[in-house]
Amino acid sequence: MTFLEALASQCLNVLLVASAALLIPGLLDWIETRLCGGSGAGLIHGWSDLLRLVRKETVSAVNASLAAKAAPCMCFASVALSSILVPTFALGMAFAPVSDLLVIAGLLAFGHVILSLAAMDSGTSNGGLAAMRMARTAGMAEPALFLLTIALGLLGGSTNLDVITGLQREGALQPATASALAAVALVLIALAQQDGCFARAAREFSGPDLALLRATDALRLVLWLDLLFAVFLPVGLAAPDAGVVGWLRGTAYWLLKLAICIPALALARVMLGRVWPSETRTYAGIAILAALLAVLLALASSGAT
Amino acid sequence: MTTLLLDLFAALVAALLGLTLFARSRNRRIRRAIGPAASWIRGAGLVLALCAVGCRDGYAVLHLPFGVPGRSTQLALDPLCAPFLLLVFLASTASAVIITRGEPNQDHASSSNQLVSLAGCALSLLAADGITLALGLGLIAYSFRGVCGLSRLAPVLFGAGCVVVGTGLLSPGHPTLGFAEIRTGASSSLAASFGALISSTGFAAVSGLAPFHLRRLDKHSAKCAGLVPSVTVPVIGIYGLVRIYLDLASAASSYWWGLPLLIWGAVSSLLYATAAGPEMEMALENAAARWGGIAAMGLATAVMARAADLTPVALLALSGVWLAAGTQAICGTLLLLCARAIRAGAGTERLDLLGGLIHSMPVVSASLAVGLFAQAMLPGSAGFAAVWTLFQAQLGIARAGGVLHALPFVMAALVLGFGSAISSATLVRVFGVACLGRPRMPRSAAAEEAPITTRIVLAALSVVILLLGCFPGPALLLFGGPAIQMLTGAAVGGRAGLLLIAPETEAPGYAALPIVLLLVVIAVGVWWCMRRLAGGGERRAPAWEDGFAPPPAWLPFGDPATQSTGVGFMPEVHVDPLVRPYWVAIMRWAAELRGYAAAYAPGAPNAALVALALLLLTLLGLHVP
Repeated sequence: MTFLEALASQCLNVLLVASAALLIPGLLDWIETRLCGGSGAGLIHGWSDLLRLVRKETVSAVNASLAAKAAPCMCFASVALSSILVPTFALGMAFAPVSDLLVIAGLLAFGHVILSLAAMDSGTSNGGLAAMRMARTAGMAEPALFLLTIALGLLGGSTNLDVITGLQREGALQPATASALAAVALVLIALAQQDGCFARAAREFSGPDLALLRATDALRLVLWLDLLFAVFLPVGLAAPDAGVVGWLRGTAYWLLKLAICIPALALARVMLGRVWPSETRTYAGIAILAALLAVLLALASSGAT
Repeated sequence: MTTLLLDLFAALVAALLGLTLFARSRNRRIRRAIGPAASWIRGAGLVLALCAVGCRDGYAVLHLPFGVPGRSTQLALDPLCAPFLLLVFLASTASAVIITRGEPNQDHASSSNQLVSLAGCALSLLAADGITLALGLGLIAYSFRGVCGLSRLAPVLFGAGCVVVGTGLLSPGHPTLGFAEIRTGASSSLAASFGALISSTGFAAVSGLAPFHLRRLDKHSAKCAGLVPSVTVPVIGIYGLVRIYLDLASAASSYWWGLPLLIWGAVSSLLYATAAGPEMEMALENAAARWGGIAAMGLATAVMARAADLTPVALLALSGVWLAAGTQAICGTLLLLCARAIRAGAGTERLDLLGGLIHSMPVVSASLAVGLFAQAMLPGSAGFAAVWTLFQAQLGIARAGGVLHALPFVMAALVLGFGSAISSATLVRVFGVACLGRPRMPRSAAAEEAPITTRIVLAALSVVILLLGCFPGPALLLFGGPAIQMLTGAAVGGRAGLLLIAPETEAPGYAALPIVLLLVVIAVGVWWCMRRLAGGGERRAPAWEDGFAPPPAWLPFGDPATQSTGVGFMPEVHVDPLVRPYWVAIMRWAAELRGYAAAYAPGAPNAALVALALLLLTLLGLHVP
């Protein structure tokens, strides 16, 4: 793949991720409402809400500092960057050499830290509580992500996401049991990180800042789905030298995966209910155990001692 | 060139020791001149250290005109000690500028102690034999006397004793305990293993690894130790561990030497990470000290990888050790200077009494944020580069064997994960409580920004840390490359470049600068778009009170109880019930002994130190001329 092709595929990746972030939250809400017997709002209703928020006046706390002003942009940037580092439809994109699992984990942590600081900046009890909950959840979720990275690193020989995805695509990420356990760990980490802490922290913002934080939440959901697809379900992912036809096929497969996963996610939400803040650390703890088991299986398969 | 630099370093150490004699003069003019003179000497030391790092023409030895009969004491300058000298002089120069300009009323005894401590650090790093190294550590211990009691003095003194005994066992038949003799005569005998174990125990005590960490968790000790020793002494400990394991005893080392050090480092790292104190300086010192444990884990990985003939992994692990040591020294200095500036400007360093400092002390707050950010595991920070490199090394060595072989490294990587999460929580807790939100007391609302000299120093250190985070590859090549090549025999060149650090040549890796640039470009782009789209303007209003009653008129900053004080942000591990009673009993006994000595024989503690040194030398069959 030439540099220009790599750049073009990266641009297409950005476009796909942005479109998915625009549509998925509305689609999820619509399916959930339909499953509950309601009629549901339109697909882009959520985004019209966001546009309305953007045009509103920003009301900030009297003592708010630069931290609160910069936080929504920085938080969005960190999640957006980690989203575009994950391959959606093709391997060998322009950012593939820097797409490292630890970097993605670090970028997610960066988003949490910035949001926690901004929540504390308002000087209210709610902001402090939100920051504390985020710190406590991250205290379990980050080690789980580290263990997951170890497991994938042991299986794939590298922590680079493109390398891991390429090996999984060729069926070389063995044993499959370890890979499946790592997938379970990733889902649990995603659940632990999708709790109400962000919403609670977002209460300290208004107007365009709040709109940006809601967009960040949508992007975070897309990121977790893409990460799951790339590492554990790389079916149809285009090879680096597949050309435009391969990209189109990869995009079609990606849309198909979304079309299967989004209703499944909506159904799970309806049946299981939301994740309560008190449950997040339990999920993260189970994720640690699943990732540890994946590591042990990977080690046992690599050479018996 | 190296020989000239070594001569100048020796003169500098002598000048530092000479200044301490004048520091106790009764003449006020002389005492006033000491501060600026010491600053100039420290500055000269920094320049010399920079030259030593840049000068790559090898190894120089200087024979001093005193020592044991038949053989003089030796100093040496080599690629291993040069970067550590740079860290020590950088920390001491930065703090000296602030102490000289910002705190003119500082106690002269304290500044004299700091000079002795710096001379001890320099001597320890330049030492080319066990006795000179122990002498350097002895000087550091001497600088602690009367200031911190035994809590900090004892581990360093213990370290000095261990070094003498350990190097004695490593060089049987050589009374000078010279490093050159140890290198040539190293064998994998039981005595050599014991020697390495004893020496490394001594250096672990100096660097504050568990169980010697208790001295650092002591609130009083953290305050009184002085800024320079708090940062530089642990760096000396890391240097000593590297020197013993990978240089002096490398020929005798075996795979299993690394395992205790790995466990030791992991436990220490966790204990420091979870030691959250109510006071800023203590919390920040513990956060910086965590890197000592991380460096020990990296060193253990390097030792085990080298014994298993995995040179690329050893190289990667040593790169991580270098970055961790740099992070510890530079961030530690910056954070402790910030804590001092906040104490001076806001009148307290208790987190639950501060708040909103970002408005009254913007430069100090920004520097504090940079220092804490660099220690957290966030991409673009110096700490992330160190942890990423160590993680790759641990992954590399874990892949080389079976389950039993790999499990310790997996656990060490898990500890890195826990530590990084807790360091992020520390960032939020310390910066969020002290610098953001509402002021909790009128005094913190009226806090004064630090003097201009302090601000310049803090800004300069912040820039150094940001550069280290954005350019870890060039920093590694420049400051650690020669030493790593000396210790492993392989060049860092193919794995560290301007933009990338990679576990293997031509492999994908961690690209700090592109990640930071992408992050900034996206953030600025989003900010610009929102600015174009937003049309509602901005209004400031009192913060929502979350259902609390309005504060009374006599609480102008709102009810402090409605604002988080940072409690509950991280799990606190209490190991004290196991160790504390014995430690307290020993300390109480030592304090009583010191009280008796002060009452009946004022010179007894110093005499005891000299007697102990003589006893150690006598035990080894030596005698002082």
